[in-house]
Amino acid sequence: MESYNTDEIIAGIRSQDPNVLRYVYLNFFPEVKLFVLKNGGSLQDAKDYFQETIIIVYRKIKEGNFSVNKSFQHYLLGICKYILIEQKSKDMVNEVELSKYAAYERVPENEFEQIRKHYEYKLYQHHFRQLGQDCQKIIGMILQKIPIKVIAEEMSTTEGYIHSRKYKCKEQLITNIKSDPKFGKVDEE
Amino acid sequence: MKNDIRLIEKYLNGELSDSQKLEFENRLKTDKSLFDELELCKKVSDAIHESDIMELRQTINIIVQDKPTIMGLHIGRFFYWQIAAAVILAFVVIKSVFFYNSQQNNTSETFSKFYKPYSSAQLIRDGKANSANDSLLNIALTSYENQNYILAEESFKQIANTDSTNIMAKFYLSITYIEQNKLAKAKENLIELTANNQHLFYEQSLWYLALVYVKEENVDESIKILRLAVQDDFYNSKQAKKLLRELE
Repeated sequence: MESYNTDEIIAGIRSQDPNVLRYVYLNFFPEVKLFVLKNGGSLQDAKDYFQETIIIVYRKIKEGNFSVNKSFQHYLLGICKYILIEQKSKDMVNEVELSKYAAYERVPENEFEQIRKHYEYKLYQHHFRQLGQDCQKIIGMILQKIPIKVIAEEMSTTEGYIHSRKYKCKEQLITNIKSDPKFGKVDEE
Repeated sequence: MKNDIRLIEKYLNGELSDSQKLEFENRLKTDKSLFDELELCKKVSDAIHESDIMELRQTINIIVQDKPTIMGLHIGRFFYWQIAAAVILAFVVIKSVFFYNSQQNNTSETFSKFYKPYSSAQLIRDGKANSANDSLLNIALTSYENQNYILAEESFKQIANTDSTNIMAKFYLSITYIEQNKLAKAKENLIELTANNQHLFYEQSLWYLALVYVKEENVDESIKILRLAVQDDFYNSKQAKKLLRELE
């Protein structure tokens, strides 16, 4: 398998290159898995943490404020450990136990907000994708400022239907988000 | 809450009159729940705009959920048994492979000479594909365009599974199969697509089915299809004519 240096990994994540992403997974996941399993998580948890870590890194790269002091692997593991600590704190682990996890690696303060936003948006996106295809399509097109007339033509229906449907779809989305038990938790942070 | 969401949406979409807008903004100063609702609606809209993140999540999910493989064999309890069986099988079939090798190389070369994946450029620019939050189709076509055939296969498959009448998804799914050398699946899909000549991808499906047959060394079946394509001046009929000449 081809190997990549840190710059190539960063560029590959930025462009969502599947070869780079697969390389990152094959090379860095074992350590993430070890850490998660050691701390009471499952293999699936490890995969979930890994996935979210890559997306957080992607967000940072995209915003142009990504820098690595030690190595990419250290950074990745640092974010992943922080997510695990966060999860443990949500699961009401006591402070003594939490400090045990916190001792592994420190995540800079300025990363907290990024991670919180990441999980908040993940929840919204999850519920958006749970909506029916027509709702996803209407909301998406409205957000793109596509005229109602065009949307109606695209969906072979009337403008009146799209007008009424756009509110119903958004109401449904907001209601579903608010009904999700995770919504309160994300919001409280 | 429902009325508030409608009001908020109208405010965000610039659909309120000046007086309604002023009234809304005054209410925002004193009504904390309305303010929170507005912030939530804004953030949800931002999140939905992140089609790149949704696409990345899906790509990583496919990579992460995929079982590790060595030369296509899944590592599991029977991994070593599989290796041993493969070695024995290799010895058993080596003679026949040797004899057929020459013919296989010929058909493989012919296939490579004539095959190229069907273009998706027109579809990407098309309004339908660009209607962003028909996100799965967008992901499928973008992945196809970027030659990420694993993700493209997964996405087209999901579309085809939810809408069995979606001919386009089935057609592109067939191409992603060919790209990954999953010839049996490609053939199955293309045979289904060529059973009905009343859709836009009928002629294209015939062409790719002929190529799959070439790759499978089923020259007779390929010739039958190519003759039809040449005779009726179907899609790629010039290429079909050239290929036919090589096969005959």
